[in-house]
This record gives sequence, C-alpha cells and structure tokens, in this order.
Amino acid sequence: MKREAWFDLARDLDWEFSYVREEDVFPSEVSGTPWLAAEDWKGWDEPYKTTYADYVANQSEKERALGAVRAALGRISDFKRLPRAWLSALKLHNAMLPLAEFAAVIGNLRAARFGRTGAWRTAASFGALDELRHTQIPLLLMHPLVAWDEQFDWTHRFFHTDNWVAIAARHLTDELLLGADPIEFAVGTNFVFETGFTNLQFIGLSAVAHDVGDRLFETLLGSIQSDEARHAQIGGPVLAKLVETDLKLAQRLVDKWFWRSWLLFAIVTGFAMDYLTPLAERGASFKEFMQEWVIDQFLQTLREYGLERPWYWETFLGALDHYHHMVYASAYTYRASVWFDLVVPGPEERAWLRSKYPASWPSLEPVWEQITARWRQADPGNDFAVHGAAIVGFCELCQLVLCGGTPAHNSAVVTEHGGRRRIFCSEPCRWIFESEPERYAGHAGLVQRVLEGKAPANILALLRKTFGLTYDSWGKDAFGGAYPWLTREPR
Amino acid sequence: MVVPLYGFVQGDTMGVVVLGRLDGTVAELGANLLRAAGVRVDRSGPYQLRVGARRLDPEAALRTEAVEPLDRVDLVWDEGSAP
Repeated sequence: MKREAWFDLARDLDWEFSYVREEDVFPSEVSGTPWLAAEDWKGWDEPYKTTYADYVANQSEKERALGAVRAALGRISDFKRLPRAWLSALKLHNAMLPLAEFAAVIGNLRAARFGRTGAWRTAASFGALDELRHTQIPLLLMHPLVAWDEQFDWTHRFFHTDNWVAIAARHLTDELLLGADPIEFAVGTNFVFETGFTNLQFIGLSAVAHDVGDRLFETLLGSIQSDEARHAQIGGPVLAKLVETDLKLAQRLVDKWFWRSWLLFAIVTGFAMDYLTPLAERGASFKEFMQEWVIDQFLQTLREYGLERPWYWETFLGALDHYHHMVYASAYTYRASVWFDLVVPGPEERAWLRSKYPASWPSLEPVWEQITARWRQADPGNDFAVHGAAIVGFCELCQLVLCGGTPAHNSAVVTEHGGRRRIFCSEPCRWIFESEPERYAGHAGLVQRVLEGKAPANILALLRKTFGLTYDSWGKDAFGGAYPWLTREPR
Repeated sequence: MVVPLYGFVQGDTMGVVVLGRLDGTVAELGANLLRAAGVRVDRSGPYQLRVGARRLDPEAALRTEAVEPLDRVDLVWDEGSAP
C-alpha cells in the first residue's frame, strides 16, 4: 500500500463509544475546557505529519549524528578549552533543560490520552518520545563533566533542590507541563513556549554556540530543535479551535503564558547572550534576537489567529531593555546562591551593552561601577566581600527576584488576598495570580519559608541547607574578581 | 518587635527583605536599607522613605508611622542629592 492510502487512517484513528459516554472518556477536568463533542473537533489537522517508521528512522539518524560529535568533542579536555564564562551558560542551560523536558513528557502523555482527536493524540505521543530524548541528552553529555567540575552535577540535581531558581522553575513547569490540561498545554507549551520562544534558544543561541566554538552544544540544540519544530505544531490547530469557541479564554491563556515564558527566557537566554558569551563572539544582543525571533514573528502569528497582542505589551517592551540586566546584576551580587559562576562586564563589554541598550544602560552602569569599586577594595577570590547578605525579595507568582521596572522605579506591587499580604514583581504577575488565585495561593515562596522558620535567614545556612549548595558548587566570580582591566591600589 | 518589610532603594536592581524594629526610627530603617543595597548602590545625600504615597518622618518610630509587616518601603533620593 502506498503511504497516502493508510496514513490518515493510522494517524487519526478514532472510534465511537458504545457503552460509555464521551464525557466519561474525556472528562473536562482532564481533557480541558471548553468541552466540545468529538464532532466539533473533526478536521483537526497538524501541519507537520510523520509516521512512526519515519519518526524512528529520523531520530536514529539524529542520535548517530549527536553521538559522532560527542565522540569527537565530548571529552573534559574539549570543555576545558571553552571560554570560562561560556561554561556558566552551559551549566545554566543544562540544569534548566532535562527535568523540565521530563515534565513535558508527562504533559504530552496527558494529551496522548486525553487530546480530543486521534491525530492530536498521535502527534502528542511523538512529542512525549521527543521530550524523553531531550531529558536524556543533556544528562548524558554533562555527566562525565561532574568529575571535573561539581557544578555540572546540577544538570540532574537542580530540579531536586529548593534553590530559588529551582523553586521558580518548578512553579512554572509544574503548572505548564504537569498540571495543565491538554488544551492549556497545547496553547501554553506548544504554541507560546515552543513556537513563540524556543527559536530563541534553538536558532539564536545555537548560532552563538557555533561562534564560541562549542560544536557539541550547537549540535545538541539543533538536534532538539527539529523535534520541537514538529510537536510544536500541535498548538496551532488547538488554538484555532479555542479562538473559534472561546476567544476570551484563548486570549487569556496566550497572555498568561507569554509573560511567564518571557521571564524564564529573559534569564536563561538573556544571561547567555549578553553576559556569558565572550564579547568577540557576540553579534546581536538578546533584545535584537527577541525582536527578530519572538516579537515580529509572534505578533504576526497572533494576528493570523485573530488574537490581540497581550494587554501588557508596553510593559513587556520596556522590560526588554531592563529586566534581564536587573536580574543579572542582582544575581551577580548573590552568585553564591546559584550553581554557576558569573562575570563582571568589563569596560569594552559595557560599551557594547551601552550601544545595544542606550535607553537603559545609563541607569545600570552605576551598579556595575559600585560592584567594581567593591572588588578594588577586596582581595581576589574574596567573593563575599562583593556579595549581598540581606534576604532577597521574590515575586509570589513567578518566584523570581523582584527585578521588575527600572532602577529608578521598581514595578513591584503589594496586594492583599485572603487576609495575606503578597508582593508581585509586576502588574502582569499580579494579574496572573488574581485571575486564578485558587491555583497559586497555597504555594509557599522562599520569603514565606524563611519567615515561618522553615528556611534559615542566614545566607550561608540558606545556601547550604535550603539551596543544596556547597563551597565547591556555589557560584563565584568566574575570574575571582581578578580582571586585567580592574586595577587594585597597593595596600 | 521586629517586622519584615520589602525594601526598594532607588537606583538598585532588586527588592530586598529587611527587618524593621517598630520601636526604631524611620532613619534607622533607611540606614538598614542602604546597607542591604550597598553592594550595588553607592550613593549618599538626603532621601526620604515612603510607603505608597505616604512620606515617613525620619525621626518617628515605625510604629508611630503605622508601618505594617510586609509593607513596601521605598527609599527615594531627594532631587539634587549626589548620584
């Protein structure tokens, strides 16, 4: 038989129920809302189709290609040749990736069972296999490096800790990947996260990895990207049906997941592109990548679906100039609270940042001048002389540091809910919380844990007992504060 | 009694949690906030502390100024103070 003769039957196999009701097979609590009869989902069609045989053949070929690059470039000595700051980008990405991908296996499997058409369920089954692969690849590639550098152990360890970044990452992935029904999963993960944002990683960052000379990471990203490009296609047809039946819900889900995805990518990709990539290898800034890969394309796609740009668009555009810079400077001064090392941008890097961010850099420059001044007075390697000691404030929605707004005016907002005072980093985070307070109100953030005595207030105790860090694994200045451009007065 | 407060220093990149003594003065709280932000902000000169639109009296106690747990306190530099 030719493929055309059997393919649609195989990928969209479905049947009518004779002894149970459709509502019992696909209860709305698990299948999602709006609940529509199977008849209404007919014609659901994913643009990127594959057969199981083709899938296995393609994946096998990709594994072979990745294996070959790993054999050639996966030794510790190969990683030792990479720029020191770039290694931090690797540690950051590889910690965020595998267990989030594993959570995405579960999200896809829920859609593979409770998605409303056979074709949707088939595509989600492939998606689950993809995400399992994306879990395994970084674990495989980074594991041998643990013997050289304990920070690489966080590739696996990260999601199992109560590190503040892990709390924020779990807060996002638990909802988006583990808790969402297939409709919200398709809109939030497949459409917004994967279609809207992952090009930033898999194309933008992949190009940076190439320039840095990190061919293994480049290959990893490329290998994952081709999977993402396929299963992300689930999002479009689900969103189209949602727009047709409940436009308000469609818009709310897009608005919510765009903001939450933005905050994550601002940190993971923003740090890598604007601070951890060697200056000589930098081309476009994070903001320029965002404009090209996210803003222009995403807005066009939204228009095609009959949706408006998110209501907070002006806030988002303002954040493009400030947010990841504010988080990076804050994280630098609390670097012992993370599992990777950070760097102080030197004069040439600051000049580059000033040219790329003329609207915001003048307000950020004094912060780096002060950090530099502190290092001038401290001995090289004495990280805690240039480190924060106060308890950090965290947003009660995104669980990230209160770095919204600008240095001149932080956008954090305090509200009362259920007799409890809460703080949010921004209006969009407040809006997301207040749209579904029952979903979020029970979560205990880090500050609450400290105030209730469930986590220590002393920073060293917090690093060790709560964040799971040790002297060998916690973040330091990647150069011990000994930069060629940073002169110290003789003492 | 000590209360936790969210503190924001103008010119800083982040918010911190500081502890304020209800019997302590607003000026003491300001000094505490500046210490917490000191690794990132090096600025001196006159400033004011605010809770929302309310300007706090630097000589008054936090209790007198009705500062409550988890209030947002802003340290705002007076115009003309040295950057």
